[in-house]
Amino acid sequence: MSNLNNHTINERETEQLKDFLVSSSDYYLEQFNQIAQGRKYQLNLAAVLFGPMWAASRNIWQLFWLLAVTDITAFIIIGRSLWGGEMYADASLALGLGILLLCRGIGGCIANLLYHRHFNQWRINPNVQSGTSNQRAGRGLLLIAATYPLTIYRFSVQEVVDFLATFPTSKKIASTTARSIDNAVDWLTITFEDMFDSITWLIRSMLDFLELLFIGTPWPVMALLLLLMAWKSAGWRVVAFTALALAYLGFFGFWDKAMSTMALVGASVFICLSIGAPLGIVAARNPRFNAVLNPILDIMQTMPSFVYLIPAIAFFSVGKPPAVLATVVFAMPPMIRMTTLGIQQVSPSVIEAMEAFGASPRQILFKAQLPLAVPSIMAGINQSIMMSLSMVVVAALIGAGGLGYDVLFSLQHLEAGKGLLAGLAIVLCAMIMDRIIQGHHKSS
Amino acid sequence: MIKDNTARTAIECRNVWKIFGNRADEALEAVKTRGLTKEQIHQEYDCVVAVADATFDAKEGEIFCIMGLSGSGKSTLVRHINRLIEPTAGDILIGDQDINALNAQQLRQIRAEKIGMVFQHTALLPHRTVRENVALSLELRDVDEQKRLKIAEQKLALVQLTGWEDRMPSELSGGMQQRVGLARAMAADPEILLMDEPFSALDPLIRRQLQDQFLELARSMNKTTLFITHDLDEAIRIGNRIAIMKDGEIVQIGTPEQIITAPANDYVADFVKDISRLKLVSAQTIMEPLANYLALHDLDLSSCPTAPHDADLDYLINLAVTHDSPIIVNDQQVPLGVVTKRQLLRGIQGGNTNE
Repeated sequence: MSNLNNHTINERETEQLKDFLVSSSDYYLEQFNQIAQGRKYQLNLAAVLFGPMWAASRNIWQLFWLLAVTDITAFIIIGRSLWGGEMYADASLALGLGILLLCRGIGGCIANLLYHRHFNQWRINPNVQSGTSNQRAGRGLLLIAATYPLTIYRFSVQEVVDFLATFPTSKKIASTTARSIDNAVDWLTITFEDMFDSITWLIRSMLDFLELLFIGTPWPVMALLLLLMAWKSAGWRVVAFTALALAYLGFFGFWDKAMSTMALVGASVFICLSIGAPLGIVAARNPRFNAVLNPILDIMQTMPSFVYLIPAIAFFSVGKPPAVLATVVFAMPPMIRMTTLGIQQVSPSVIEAMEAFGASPRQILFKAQLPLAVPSIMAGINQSIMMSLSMVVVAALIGAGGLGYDVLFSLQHLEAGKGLLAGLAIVLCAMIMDRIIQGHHKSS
Repeated sequence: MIKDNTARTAIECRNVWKIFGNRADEALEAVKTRGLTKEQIHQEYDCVVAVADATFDAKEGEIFCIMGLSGSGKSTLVRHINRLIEPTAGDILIGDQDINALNAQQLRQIRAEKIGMVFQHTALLPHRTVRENVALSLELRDVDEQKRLKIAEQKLALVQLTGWEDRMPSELSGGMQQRVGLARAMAADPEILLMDEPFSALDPLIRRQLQDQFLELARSMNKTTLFITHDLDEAIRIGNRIAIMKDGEIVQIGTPEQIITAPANDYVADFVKDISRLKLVSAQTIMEPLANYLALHDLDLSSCPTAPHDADLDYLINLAVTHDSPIIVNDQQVPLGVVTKRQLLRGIQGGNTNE
């Protein structure tokens, strides 16, 4: 125990430290010894005096930025008290100096601790830069020169020159670029009219069929079917929940709209699955394709959905088909990713065994990889459904109708109650689908 | 078990090299022309030599063990036989067929029909029942369902798993899973079995049971088996012949007795020093030729106990305990040599018996 408490730096460590410190090693050896014995906060005068410059020369950049920010704050207050005039009458020189001293003091106290941590990093990886270097100090000085004067000036004078207040913009670049994109969209719309029309037609007929199925089926039959699915896949709890949720949809007059929303979501998810799963399979087997696909998927997921509503309208006009397509763009990435993940997760030893028994790549895919990826693919479908439902309101903007329209309408007319009821209906639709599919995937 | 030296060669590896890395061919050239060591290859070419100039052959019906520690290249070497790994250089022959000359289609066919493989971590398909797992190789060859499931049941009966056909692999213990793996490997009735450390992950008791079960099966079915293991005891129990690998090279090939009594170098000697010799060393290895003995001693042959020339030490000990006179070693009633108590003790110890 006593060994643990009175840990002092041994010879080997001392040699290492000397290599690391390069200059003023006697001082730091003593300081590190103190830290090793548990006295963590020792005042480093050099750090207090030179502040960020010390940190830069010792390569402790987090401390550099910390001290730079506190320095600038203190200098701004000092500047305001000296030349700020009436506008900054409440700034006092004493306060500024006090903040400067206090922060430098704190910096000086933690400096050795941070430096000790830096030493430990250097021990793990000798490529971490150590010692002091004029080059780094110079870099620190440059950064200080670039940030301090302008910032202090900006916040301490009464009238700032225009050049500093706002970024010098060029309106022309933006407008010409936007116009050329407009032109490109126009050109695409006209040139590929037939293609866009046929896609619209395809989606519309699929939607028509699904709506006929969901809305045309008498509500008792539809409800019974949903309850039966819930029973089959997830047991009586989910049946009870589904029954309550359906009762809510019916009694509050959301039945038709809910069914229409479900048809929309169903169409979107079907497209997601039929395009996403094959893409996911290809991506799992072809790393290069995966590398190209990944950033595209990132864009699809992070791009605000309103942004691609615009080209969707341009290419496919308003109504449900463009809403479905916008939803697909948003909801497909998880489908692709989960398929890829599921296939990649299949143990290599299983694949090797398949090969050893003479399986062709095709047999490996269909007899081992895909069946083993099913749970992951199901999770992907689930995600797609949830994301499609989250697009319902947005899609209503371009005429998708359904529950989303009710929410949108109440938003525009400030009818909070009606909006909340419709919102709850969307949530319930999502939960019914989620519970049924999750239950299915757990029980299988 | 075969004793017949004229048996046909079933598997042959000739000067097989496997070097992993982007510059494998250059590295191989460097090894051959400049004689670089593995460390030098690693430094200069950033390549790893996994198998170095391996040559061996396994006879039909033989159980050929490849024994080595982890990283010795034994698993890599065995994957060359069904070309799961392509050699950097060298030839591999199955019967008289050059496995490297096959196209993808032919290769799949030979894997499905001629070579069964058992893996250390079983590698069963977790989403299929035991029966469907065993039927895998037949399914891949489009054998119709009824037939393949029936064969699967027969093979499962061979490994004493009747009644478990409809379970999922995860419901079985490790030893049972490995037996499923064995049944799966035998389903297509292949001529060759490749067994990659099949029993290594099992506890010692189960391992011994499976070894016995496997030996019994192997005797009745007469399949050529390449058996990979890191356990010399296992190799000696199972193998007709053993190849010992170290750092990618085959250090010695021989019968268990040859390996025990005449280790090729210190490395092998170090391995075998703790192995019990009782069941391995035969009378003829430790005996003194009869003429030499009679030149120095008087002996009444008729009063001595006799042992066949291939009797093991265990057998000789039993004789020596009940008789005072030396043991006469016979080959088909013809006396060949004499084993005295001193020779017997030295033989058990493993030293020179004629000191």
